[in-house]
Amino acid sequence: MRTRQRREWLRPAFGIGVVVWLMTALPAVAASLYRIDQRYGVISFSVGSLGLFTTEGLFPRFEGELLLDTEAPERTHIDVTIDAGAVAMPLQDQADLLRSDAYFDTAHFPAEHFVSTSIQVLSPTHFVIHGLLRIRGVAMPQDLDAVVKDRHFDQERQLEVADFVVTGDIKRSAFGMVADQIMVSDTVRLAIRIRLTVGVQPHGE
Amino acid sequence: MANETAAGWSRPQRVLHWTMAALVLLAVPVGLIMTALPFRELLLKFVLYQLHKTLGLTVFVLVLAQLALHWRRGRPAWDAGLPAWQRRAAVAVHAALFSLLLLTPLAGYLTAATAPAKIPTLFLGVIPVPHLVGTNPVWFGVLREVHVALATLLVLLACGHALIAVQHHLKGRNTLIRMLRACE
Repeated sequence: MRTRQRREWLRPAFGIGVVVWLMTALPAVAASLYRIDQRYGVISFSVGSLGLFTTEGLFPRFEGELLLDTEAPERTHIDVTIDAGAVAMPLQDQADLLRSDAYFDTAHFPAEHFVSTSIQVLSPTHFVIHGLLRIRGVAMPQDLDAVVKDRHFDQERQLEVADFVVTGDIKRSAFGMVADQIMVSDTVRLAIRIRLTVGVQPHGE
Repeated sequence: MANETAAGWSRPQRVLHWTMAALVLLAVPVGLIMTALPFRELLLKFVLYQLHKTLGLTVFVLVLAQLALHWRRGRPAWDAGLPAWQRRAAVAVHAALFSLLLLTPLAGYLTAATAPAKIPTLFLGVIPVPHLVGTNPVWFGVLREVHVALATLLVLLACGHALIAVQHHLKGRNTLIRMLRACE
């Protein structure tokens, strides 16, 4: 386990995350800071329609951090900001509908944000992430189920690599998205597959 | 396929003819409305798409049944005095109509099957119709255009077919009469 401590200016969206990170990370000796963005993973979602079929979509732009502490997993901290306006669906009309004021209302709320508040360790590779999810300016408690599928050191690239699968069910009505309740299920299934690396600066920084 | 031994169109042939005409007449405006409807009208749009698909699939099956009937029973004898070129034109128009009545729903089905949105096809809104080909955005774009072109051609040809039938009727031939009721 490699220890990393970085001091760098992060984007305003991560301000809260940085504060929490500094509070929690400094005492830790086994914490690794992972940068998260779309180059290393996929944030997808699926929603049922009339109980007959499922429609899937993607959030192709996001960024954030994960401070992973393997010796004290409960100290792990996550902070992710998603570009809601970049939402992608099989049809452009579907994506436009999601951007509209009936759904994400990206004109007023261009980003979604998740910040963890605590981590519940179920096993060394299985966690429940308790946190706050903010969509359309509404922040609600949200639990996500995280499983570490793989964690290893890539000798060739000299990077530590961790593959995560994070899932969770979101009630869209809780965030004020109540349109098309007959057609579109209230539960939206979130599925995040991400490969985290240490030592790579995003966006060529 | 068609021989000319039958005295007139049989009742099943007449019923199939008018049923198909009604379904096509309904499918066209439904198709126009469903595509023009804003995506915000999600449920209505979905219902209209399923109705349009149901109409198309029904027409496809009815055309096959009509062709089978024509093959078994044949068509009535041509009106005496009908010029040979008009007979040939009528045969060509009927062949084109039957082809379009088969190809238009087929292209519609393939459009639905290759659509990126993966919306199922539900006959009568409840019976799932399997998509035998997978999603393909490129083919979807092509097939959608083909479907619209075929449907446009079908409507134009059907209108011409109807106008000519009326014209024959006005000239005293029993073209319309024998499509409406049995003839001796």
